[in-house]
Amino acid sequence: MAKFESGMENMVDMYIYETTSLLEQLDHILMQTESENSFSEDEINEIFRIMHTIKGSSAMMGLDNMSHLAHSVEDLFYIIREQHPVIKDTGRLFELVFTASDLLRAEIDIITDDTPPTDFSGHMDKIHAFADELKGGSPRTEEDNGSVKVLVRFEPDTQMIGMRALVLINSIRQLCSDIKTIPPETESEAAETQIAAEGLKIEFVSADPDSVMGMLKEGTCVASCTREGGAEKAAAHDSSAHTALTTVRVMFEPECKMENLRALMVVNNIRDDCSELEYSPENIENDQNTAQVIKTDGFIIRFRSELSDEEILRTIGETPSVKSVDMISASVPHAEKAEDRTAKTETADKDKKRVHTERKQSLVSVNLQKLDQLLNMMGEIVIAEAMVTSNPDLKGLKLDNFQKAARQLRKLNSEMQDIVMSIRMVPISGAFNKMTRIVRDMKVKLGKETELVFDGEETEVDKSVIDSLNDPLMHMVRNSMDHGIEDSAEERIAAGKPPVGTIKLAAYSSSGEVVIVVSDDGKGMDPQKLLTKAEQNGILTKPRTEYTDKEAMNLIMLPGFSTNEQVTEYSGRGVGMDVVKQGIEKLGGTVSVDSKLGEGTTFTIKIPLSLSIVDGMEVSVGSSIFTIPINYIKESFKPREGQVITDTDGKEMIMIRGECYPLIRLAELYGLEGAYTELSDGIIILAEADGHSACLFADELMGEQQVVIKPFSPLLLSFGVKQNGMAGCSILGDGSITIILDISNILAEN
Amino acid sequence: MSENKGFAAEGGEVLTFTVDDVFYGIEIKYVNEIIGIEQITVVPKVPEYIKGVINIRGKIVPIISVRKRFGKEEIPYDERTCIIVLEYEENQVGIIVDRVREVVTAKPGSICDTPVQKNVNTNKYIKNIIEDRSGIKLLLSCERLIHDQEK
Repeated sequence: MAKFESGMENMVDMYIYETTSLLEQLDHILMQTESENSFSEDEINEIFRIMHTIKGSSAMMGLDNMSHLAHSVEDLFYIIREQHPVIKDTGRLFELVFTASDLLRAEIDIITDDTPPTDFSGHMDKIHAFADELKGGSPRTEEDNGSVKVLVRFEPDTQMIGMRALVLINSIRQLCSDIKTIPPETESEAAETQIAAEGLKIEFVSADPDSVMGMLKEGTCVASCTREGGAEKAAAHDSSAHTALTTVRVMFEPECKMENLRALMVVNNIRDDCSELEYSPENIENDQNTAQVIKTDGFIIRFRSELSDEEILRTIGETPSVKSVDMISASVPHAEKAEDRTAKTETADKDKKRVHTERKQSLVSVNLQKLDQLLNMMGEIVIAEAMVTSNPDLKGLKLDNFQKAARQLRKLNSEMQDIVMSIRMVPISGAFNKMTRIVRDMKVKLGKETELVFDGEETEVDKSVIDSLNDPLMHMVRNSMDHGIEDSAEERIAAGKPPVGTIKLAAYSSSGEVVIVVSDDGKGMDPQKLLTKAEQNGILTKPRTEYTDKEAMNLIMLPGFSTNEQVTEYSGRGVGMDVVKQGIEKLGGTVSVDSKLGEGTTFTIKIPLSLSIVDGMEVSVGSSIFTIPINYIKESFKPREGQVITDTDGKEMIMIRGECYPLIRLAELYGLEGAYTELSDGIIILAEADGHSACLFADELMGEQQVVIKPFSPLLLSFGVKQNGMAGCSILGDGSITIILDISNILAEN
Repeated sequence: MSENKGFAAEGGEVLTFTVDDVFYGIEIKYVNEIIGIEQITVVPKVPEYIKGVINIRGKIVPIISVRKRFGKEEIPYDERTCIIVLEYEENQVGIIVDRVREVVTAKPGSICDTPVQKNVNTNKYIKNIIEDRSGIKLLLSCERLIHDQEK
């Protein structure tokens, strides 16, 4: 059983998407305000709005813990917005909100898990405590010069009314001092009858009576909550006063679902324009049963507004899924106009409005699964096209018109492929921006002044790449913060560097690859130290002296290597860079490290731009056909006599233009029979990847073709085909299967 | 093993085939289709019993030779050699068998457990023995046939 309410499964994706993007927005605002160290009115409103939305949608999903946490933050910002208190301890405020955002995000990550909802009360208490402090220090508004009297009525037939009253009183205790109730003791039977008959009178002193009222109204089984004394306000709640308000009935499109939340949207849309606003059913935000009521009876809104009724009605009509808005009674000043409006005037220009709203929406969010399907389909079309245009039946035929048409088809297909790819492309800035947050947190914790700069964050990569890029990037940034940047500004000044450290995230695309560079201007790495450490951990595979500096640097990517003496919260468990390497390799990419002692460290990640379609060169070895991605091939040639040298171990090498390359016979590498053994019979392919070069020996070049990478079945993966230099397979035009070679793996391993 | 119990208690349809004239069975719920033998693309550096991969309507499916899996010698494929395509845990796997026979319904009473006998090589792939009028059939465990790796 997942945490959310059953029946909400279809909303989960939407909820996760919405809430995550809201939290990201929140982080963004916080980061900005933190650097300026002040809140503008807009920003406070924005945070308030974000928290309010999260609260609402969490409650709708039945995630009460998240809803309450969001509510507490909302309260906090309510106080800040309404009372403008002088915030002395801004650091603590940011910390509280950041932590709340993290907690919410962590909870979303495990939303479908079978674990009980996390208890946030600890953090909520902290927020409440801070809110109280803010209130304590703020000047009191004129409203609470005395106590506020409130009459709370419970819904008829409420069971255990005394208990509910007590719970209600306890719930507002945090915000109020000096609470008096009539009857004073709620739990006796006499008191219960009194409450049921006359309602519960509460008298309290609070700095924030409005939010207390809000809490009372939201209490379970509370039917109404009216303030006594504030005469005109109470009158507004009196049913006789309804005539003074414009009353409309809103009907929603049939089968639009979640009518209660749509109604809430309507209410939110007009809230700012209305001085008074009531609606029924009331508890639309938290009670799903209201959806049914709204569906059958419509949603009744009573409002008073400075704007004309038409304008409000128009706003309501523009809300998505609203089918019709009918005026039931107009407010007094507009009474004469109202008569002709009772007949559905709104529906007349509804169509005009619909066009208007649809034009505004030029972005569509699409399920990633559908995009994956689209991409797969595109792959199938590429294969099918090859099956038609290079069909063996066509051999030897002279078909001018067919060739012309085939060329046209190929052109269209490749254009379509580009479009399909581009749909999936998102700017990398999303992944980069997440790092701002990590740097900020670590800056505070480690006390290192560091600046994070971006370059080329508009570079676009495949959506699936972005998703799997987060973890590796995070590890690298943490590494740079933790190990790279010097511990203190003094140390940096002594080394002749600016006191503030810099971590740079850069991205650019080059020849079918996206290159991401994470660099810092910190201490750099000492190859000798790395080697010593590696020796201690027993992960050296050859004598120490044989390691080049570059090889020594790359040792940090091996499992079980960590240079930090102390395990910190952020890194040093000896898993970090290992995880990075694996994560990137899963994407078909590579990582390399470069570092100069005292000057800084640079990690370079290269990821293929498109994950699934590659230009490949087919080569035959015995009866097998392999595909080598073209971007790894430097050249191919027939070897001459005497070009091959054999060393004392029997290893073969080839001299090309004064350079010596190792020779890898694919047939030997994969134990294939029936392949050529004489070098002069076959063909040599010079391949290069990540600074390694080698010559591959194959029987024949079969031709160039676009192939679609299909992953190996899990059964084959369990036998380590990936580790043996096979990236995947693909289907050729004639239906046969080719194995795509992972050149960088082959070159690195041999 | 729940998979085991369910079948022994309720019975069910079984596709039977022979390898070396021994009758084997596999539960019909795992069987996707039966195809003739076709060109198999060799995948290097995998255990010998994995013959390679084939292309079934755009899907790349690994092929296991049941003979090799049971430690028997391969015989030349003929026109009655078949590939039974199984679907197990959402992945397709093909198994090469000598002959596909028929589909029989195993009644709960005719199913018994395998004896515990460690020295019989094929035993580890067999989860039940079915005996009916037509003879004895060894019911294979899909899971073990596909996933057990030789130690």
